[in-house]
Amino acid sequence: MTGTTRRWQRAWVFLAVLAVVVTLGLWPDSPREAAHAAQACGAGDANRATLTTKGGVTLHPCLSKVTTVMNIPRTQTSSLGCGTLFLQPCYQTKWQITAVSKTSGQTLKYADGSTESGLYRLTFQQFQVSSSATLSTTGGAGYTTTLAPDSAAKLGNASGQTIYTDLWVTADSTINLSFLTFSCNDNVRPDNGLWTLADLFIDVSAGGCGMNLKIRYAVTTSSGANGEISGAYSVNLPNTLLTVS
Amino acid sequence: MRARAADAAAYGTRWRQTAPLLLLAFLMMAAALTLLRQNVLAAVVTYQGSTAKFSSGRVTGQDVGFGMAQVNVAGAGTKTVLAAGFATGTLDGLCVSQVQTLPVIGDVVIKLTSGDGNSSTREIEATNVQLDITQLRGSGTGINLDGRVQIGMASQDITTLAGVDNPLSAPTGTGWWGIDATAGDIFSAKGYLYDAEIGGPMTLPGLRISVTPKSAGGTECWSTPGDATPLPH
Repeated sequence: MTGTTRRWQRAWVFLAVLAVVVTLGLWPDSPREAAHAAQACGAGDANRATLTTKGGVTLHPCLSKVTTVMNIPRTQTSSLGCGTLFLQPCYQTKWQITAVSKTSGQTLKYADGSTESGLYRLTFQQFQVSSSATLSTTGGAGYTTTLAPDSAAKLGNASGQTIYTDLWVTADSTINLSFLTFSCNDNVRPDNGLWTLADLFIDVSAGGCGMNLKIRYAVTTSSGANGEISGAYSVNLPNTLLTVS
Repeated sequence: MRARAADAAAYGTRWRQTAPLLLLAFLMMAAALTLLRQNVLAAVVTYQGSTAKFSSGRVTGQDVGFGMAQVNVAGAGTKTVLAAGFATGTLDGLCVSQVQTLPVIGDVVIKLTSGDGNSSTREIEATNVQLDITQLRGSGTGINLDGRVQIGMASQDITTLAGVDNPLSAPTGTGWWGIDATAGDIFSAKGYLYDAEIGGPMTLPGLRISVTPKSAGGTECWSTPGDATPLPH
């Protein structure tokens, strides 16, 4: 075998090894590829919730069991404080809706198969917030995610289109109704008679100076039952900062 | 002559053992090149150990999802991020920057920009995109979600790609929160991200990549998320 032949052989081997190395380098890391395999929500998707919106749409989401807290702090409107006889009128309107309804006795199933009962389904029509609202998570796996608009925000308040927002909330969620509550401890829960009274007046506008909703799941649809894109925007969060901590 | 034969035996190529390696190598090379040409292979941008800044005049996506997930960051371990994904999308300009500290030179700004300079067009197109975000600000019109929007879903159930389960590769079970939307828009977007994956074809008109020492005037995409640094268009 001549020296020239051996050089060619070495060159071929070198090329082969180089090709393997370069190819392996070219092949991108696929940290997410493994997770693309089918991952049901529990065995056989048995842990999916079955929910029906007020509009009659049935959904089967896989739920995180993380609470989204919508907080609009109720500010004290009087400098006198919170003494027994001191009034703190709730005259500000930080949020408003054109109609509200509630349905009690709701049960949710979560991704781990656990269930939670005693929840309420609230349905808001044209829900908008004018100031000071934050959406933040609690109960996440070691993190908090916060959505904080500088001022206004809208959930289902597209112009020219009626949009409903269905929220499944815990019984200790509260609202503070404008001109109906006057004290520092005027939080109205879904199981409160005042809320029931408001519920009777569906299609009557309501507003409030505070809100603290503990939302297990919310869905809003800007168009038909199938959620087609309308360009109307179900959720509008102007000047909003999203953070993960 | 005998000595030459011995040399050949000692130094010659064992083709029977080499052939499989050769074949495997060329097959892999051919496959990789074919996939790259067909834009099947993902473009992955990973930032070593720290976040990069990004900005865009507008990001518009179909089949949009946001879900909490975890990523392994080189040199920094596991980080919890908000994985934002969409099946198809368009952008009005893009800027991604990161500062690296080099010996002698000091801080150097590595910056990628793309766009046509026109704020009325969304000239950048991408499919199967995922951004692992730690902070995002949408200014002006801000963050808009359209169609059916669901809040509180398990990240594993977020859908961004038809027929793909858990496209955000989120941990399964409870504790991982997400938002699913039919479509979404983020206006005047500025944020931090750990990495970006573009799994499908991407068009980046006017692409520029610069490496500029800060001392020579190198600037990042923005200073603070709410500042007045002009957005790319």
